[in-house]
Amino acid sequence: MLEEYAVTPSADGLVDLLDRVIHRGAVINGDVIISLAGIDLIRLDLRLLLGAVDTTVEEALS
Amino acid sequence: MSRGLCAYAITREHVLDLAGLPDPEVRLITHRGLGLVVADVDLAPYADLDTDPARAMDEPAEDDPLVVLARRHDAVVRAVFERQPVLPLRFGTVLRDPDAAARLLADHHELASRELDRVAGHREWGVRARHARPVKPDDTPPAGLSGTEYLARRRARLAATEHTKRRGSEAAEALHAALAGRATDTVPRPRRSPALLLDAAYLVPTAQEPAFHAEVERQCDVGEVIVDVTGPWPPYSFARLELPADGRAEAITHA
Repeated sequence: MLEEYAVTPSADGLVDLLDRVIHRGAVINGDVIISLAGIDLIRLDLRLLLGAVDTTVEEALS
Repeated sequence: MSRGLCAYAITREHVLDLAGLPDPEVRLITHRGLGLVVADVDLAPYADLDTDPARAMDEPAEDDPLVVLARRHDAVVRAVFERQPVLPLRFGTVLRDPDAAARLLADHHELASRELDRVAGHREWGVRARHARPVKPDDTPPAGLSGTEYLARRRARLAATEHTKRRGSEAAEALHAALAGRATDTVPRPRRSPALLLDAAYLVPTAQEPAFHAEVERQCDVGEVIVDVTGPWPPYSFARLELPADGRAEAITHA
């Protein structure tokens, strides 16, 4: 039944997946290291994590 | 320190179906009936990501490192979602250690439990609608028209365009209203194209799914709009929590 109208090109399906996985979902702030809206932030925080485990991000940023 | 505790979803405490999971490292950290789906992962692939997400959205490629990791995230969330309600966490959520995971569940026990109850028995569906007819007809005027004829023709074309647009919009609104009536919740999604008349996600009780799809078919039969449906999805678009974790690193409050 669904197949009649649910023909979605695979690239489109991938866009839907990326949109959901990267931009949706519950966000945890705080004493979690990373979890945020943009990949840039994730990368930034990861580098901080990798570089300075016991430093809070605030300290690392200042 | 190149390993971290990657968190995928909040769920109810249960025995994970390990066979269904893409990664044997995935496990559940539990607290009073709740579970956080986590895996101890090598963070280097995350740290090395240099994909521009906007570009990945425009030209997604399966071999892009971001796509590979996003698929993995989705595979874990889906595997749990097969058995239990989930609140998916945003891609790239990494916790300091298992204690932080347990603390998170403890701090937000009531809210997370309530939200899990809200999405239980539901699946997310994405629906897009666009005009079935071209909004702008071929506007090349035949040769030899007088100025008056040309203007009259132009006016008629504009009127036809407006009419097509309006009927498409009305059909999309009717579709949305019908679908929302079958759904527990709905959220608009960012329109990636002005040609889209509707782009929304619906949280649909599984018992309502046949009726939901019947509404789509009904509107397709009317013929004003072409409808694309994606899903079922775990309720990514409906896990709209922002959980502040108390404690040391409260400074992290990016929007």
